[in-house]
Amino acid sequence: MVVIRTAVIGAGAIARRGHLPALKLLEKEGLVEIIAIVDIKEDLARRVTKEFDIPKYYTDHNEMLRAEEPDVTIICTPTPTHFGIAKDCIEFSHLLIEKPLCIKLSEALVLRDLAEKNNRIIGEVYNYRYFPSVLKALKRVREGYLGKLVSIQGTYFTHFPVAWTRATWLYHERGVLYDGLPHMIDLMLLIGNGRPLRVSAFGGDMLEDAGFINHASFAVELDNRVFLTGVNSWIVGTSFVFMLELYGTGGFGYLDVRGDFYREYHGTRTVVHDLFYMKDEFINFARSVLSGRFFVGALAHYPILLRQFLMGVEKGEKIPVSIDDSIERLIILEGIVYSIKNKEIADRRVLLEKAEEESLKMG
Amino acid sequence: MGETVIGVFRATSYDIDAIRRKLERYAESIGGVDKLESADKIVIKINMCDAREPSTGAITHPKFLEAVLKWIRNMNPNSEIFVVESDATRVLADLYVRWFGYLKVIKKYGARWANLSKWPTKTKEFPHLKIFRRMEVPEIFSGAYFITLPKLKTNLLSDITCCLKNQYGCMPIVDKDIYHPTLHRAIAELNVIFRPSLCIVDGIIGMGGAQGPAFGVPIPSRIVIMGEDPVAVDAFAAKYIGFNPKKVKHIKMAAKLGVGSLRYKVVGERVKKVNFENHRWEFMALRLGVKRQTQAWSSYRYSWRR
Repeated sequence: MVVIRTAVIGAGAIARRGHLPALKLLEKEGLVEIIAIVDIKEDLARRVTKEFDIPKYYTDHNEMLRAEEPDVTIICTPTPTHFGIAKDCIEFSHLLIEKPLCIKLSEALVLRDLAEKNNRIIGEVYNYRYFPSVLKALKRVREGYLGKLVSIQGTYFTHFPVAWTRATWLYHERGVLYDGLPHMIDLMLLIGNGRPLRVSAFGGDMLEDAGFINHASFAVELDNRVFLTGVNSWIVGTSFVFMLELYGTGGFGYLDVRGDFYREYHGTRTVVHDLFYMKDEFINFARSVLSGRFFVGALAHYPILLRQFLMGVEKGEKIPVSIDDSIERLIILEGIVYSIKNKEIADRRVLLEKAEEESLKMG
Repeated sequence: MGETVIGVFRATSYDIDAIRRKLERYAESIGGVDKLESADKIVIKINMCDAREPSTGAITHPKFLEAVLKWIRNMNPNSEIFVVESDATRVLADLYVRWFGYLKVIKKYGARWANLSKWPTKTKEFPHLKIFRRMEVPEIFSGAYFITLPKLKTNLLSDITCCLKNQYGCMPIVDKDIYHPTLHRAIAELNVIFRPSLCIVDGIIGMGGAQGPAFGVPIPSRIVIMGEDPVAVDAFAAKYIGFNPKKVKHIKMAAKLGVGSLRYKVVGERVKKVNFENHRWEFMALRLGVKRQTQAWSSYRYSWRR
């Protein structure tokens, strides 16, 4: 097996808690070699280098690319910087970029063209899809246990992410939409198995004068006639709720992603069914708290995600989330922003045409 | 009765030509096809138990009906074919046949749709039966080669719903639930009156759990069972779903009444066992619930008497 020389750009919270511990595990297996880390804060870069036993650090990613020529570069910097950095990296290596891939749809189109031109692979990080409960729900839906899927309703509430990171870049114009919502959209498209056609949304800045979207409700029509609806908020009074309700002609599935539990109801739902599920849910919860899984959450899935991506790159196989998949996810995000701003339904064709125009201007 | 032959094969999807090819291949081995080839009139009874979409596994899939019609038309292009079902407590047959896409298929193959509840009937006597000594029998069945196309499902009241139970829908009356207190006996006797000549079970999407036959769990069982003997086919189906056929009362009663045999020989493909998600507690709790519901309804309905 070829050892994949991997560099990481960004030494913030997600690199330290997600990528680097996972890469170290894969390094032990002989799959990768972490060759360098880059961060504009030299102190932080030095500290992380020491903590994870990485041979080199840089403060400029261009310098690192020229000096190290990595096989794969992982970008886990703040989202607004993804596009610029990815553009610089694409000539040198394959890329794995933290979600969301970039801020604008047009930027994703530019990256797709550059990747094609340079014969590179771009992947996006979505780690919630590896929860056992999500995999179970996906299997049940794909095998037809819910009949024909008609609708998915999702909820993603978190509090302002101040405890996770002290960074303030998240409070840009698109705010809450670019926090956890991409994860929910990813699961919706994964389970819904279609492409978005139209997006409609309501919401915006519900505070006095924050200047960014902090609450949104949206609806999406997919090309396979599955309908997605969702609520995403930083201001609802619960700290972390991530759940999906799956409506099929043959039943109803309730997927609590945070609690990693999947329930399914067919026909009449009674308290007897709930009691049996509650018993299982309690046992599952107790086990996950005792084992610590509950607290690590989706971070625990980085090793499997990175392995799949790196193996895909090495063997030329399918990677978990390709740039084309990312574009579908960005169409929904861009559509929500467009619909809230213009108070009208965002059409796939219009969004893509606008983005193509912008991307041509970007060169 | 002796041992009968039943055919079993896998079908991963509702691919019409793939199903038709397999029907052709296995029909020879179960026998009786020559009668079908020469029949002037063929009646096909589908299963529409409720307003449930085909992907739920509750009703015969229209594509399955299409595969069967295509197969029949290939070998017998001139026969008169009727596709039948009747109205019931939760069935508006004339509407559902359009809603769920059967009518298009029926027209495509030059067949005719018949709602048994609206078809002329003839009173017939069956002195050896207990429940149906005298019955209004739709005339459409006289002189017809009768094919039953049931689903492979669990049933809260009768454990399983397959070939035998499908003939419950041959009764033209709408309030069919009046026979629910003696359901097993009623099913067995109805199969004496409407004994199918050929049974083809659509088990490609089956239904499990305790809330069948309409609201159970859709099960991707990917199987088709066919045979001339409805008792033998049901015995196999019951075993496949997870029940002991000798403990399913209507199967046992039908065998006793001479409808068919519990002994069978299987020809065809090896099929994998599928979990039909039959939880004993759910059956028990829901049966208790149904009992209480019946009591509560009747007590409410006649409360004015007190």
